[in-house]
Amino acid sequence: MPWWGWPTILFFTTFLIGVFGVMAGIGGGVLFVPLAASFFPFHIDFVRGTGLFIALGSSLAAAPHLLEKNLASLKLAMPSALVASTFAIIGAFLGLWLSALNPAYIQGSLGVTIIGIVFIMLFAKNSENPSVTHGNYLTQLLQINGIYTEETTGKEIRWTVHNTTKGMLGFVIVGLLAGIFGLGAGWANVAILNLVMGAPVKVAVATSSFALSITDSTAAWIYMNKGAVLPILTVPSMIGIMLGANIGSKLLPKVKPSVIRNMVIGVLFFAGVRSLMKAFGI
Amino acid sequence: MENFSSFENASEQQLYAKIVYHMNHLGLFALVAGFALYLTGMLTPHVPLEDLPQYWSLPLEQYLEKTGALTGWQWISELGYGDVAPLIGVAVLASITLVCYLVLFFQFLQRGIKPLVVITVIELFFMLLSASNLIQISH
Repeated sequence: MPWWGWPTILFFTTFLIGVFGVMAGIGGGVLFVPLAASFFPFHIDFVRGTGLFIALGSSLAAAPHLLEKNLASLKLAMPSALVASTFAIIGAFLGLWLSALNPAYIQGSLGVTIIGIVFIMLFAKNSENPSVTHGNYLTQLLQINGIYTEETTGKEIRWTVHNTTKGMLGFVIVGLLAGIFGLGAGWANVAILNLVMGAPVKVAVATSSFALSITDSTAAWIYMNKGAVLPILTVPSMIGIMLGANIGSKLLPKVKPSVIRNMVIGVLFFAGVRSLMKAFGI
Repeated sequence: MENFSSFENASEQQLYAKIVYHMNHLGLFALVAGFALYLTGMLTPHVPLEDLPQYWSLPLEQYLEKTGALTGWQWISELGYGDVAPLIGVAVLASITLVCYLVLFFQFLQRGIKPLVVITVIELFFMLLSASNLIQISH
């Protein structure tokens, strides 16, 4: 194959990831890393570097709109992202270190993580408006609360969160996974913000999407400084996923999201198994 | 029961959104422009495009050893090379949060919101630390 063959296939693959990722409500990074690590010839070090920039680029593109609409909350994102980004640094070094010891360690643990994510996606059910009557000390100290307008009803929703300490412990894991594997980790953010801390689901989804831009920035610098960002992979992937997400968001009203979501979860499961097999040299 | 009427969004949120919007456009423009210069051959790359398939499947350390690719901030001095030029866009995108947090720091300081000032300072410290390439690991 000529040199441009794989980057071109990568571009079309990321375009499809963008289209289906948006329709399924699943971030691009979590689909990209296992697929590219399992089915492309690129080394997993470069795949993870690109995965981080895909997640970062998607988050930065969505952030202005979400913040302006008050769906994403700066006050909720800041403490969560601080914990996650601190551990993303540790994760990034851990990932590069493990990969230098033996890339199969990363490939195998990526497979296990992806299969775990598939089960979380299948069984975690979000709660639309969890009942939070009062926040705890940390919530009040950091004034984690806000207001947004529910567009379907025009009603103003006032919200706060609880279980802040437990939630922050969850972000330790989110940060580590983001750093080690280059995954966006939106699937975990939403569960923590909504199910553990009690943020309304719309606020949880939007804040998760926005917070990734903070979390992934620290790990992205480490991958870039170590030389793990190859423009020939990163640029076509970022452009592909952005174009795809744009098309996906236009197709969204015409498709049944649950069908697409199950399809994408199926692909993710397959990529997780493939990654695990690759680790064992199968 | 908490006083729900006192709930509010951070006023800095709208400013943050504007900075992200403009810097993201700038970063994407630099990324695409740098990549176009690379692909069209207007800027010669360190590693010729047709040789890349020999290297992209290598572990990072071997790739760096065999291609002599640069690490840390050395790329700044090599911007005339095709495979380095797109890194300007990458660096702009990775810096957006850093710039936003610098602005937040002064805003929160002015409003005297100490807990948020502390969070901003710690986050800035970690961002600058990771961007500085000062942390190293040995195998």
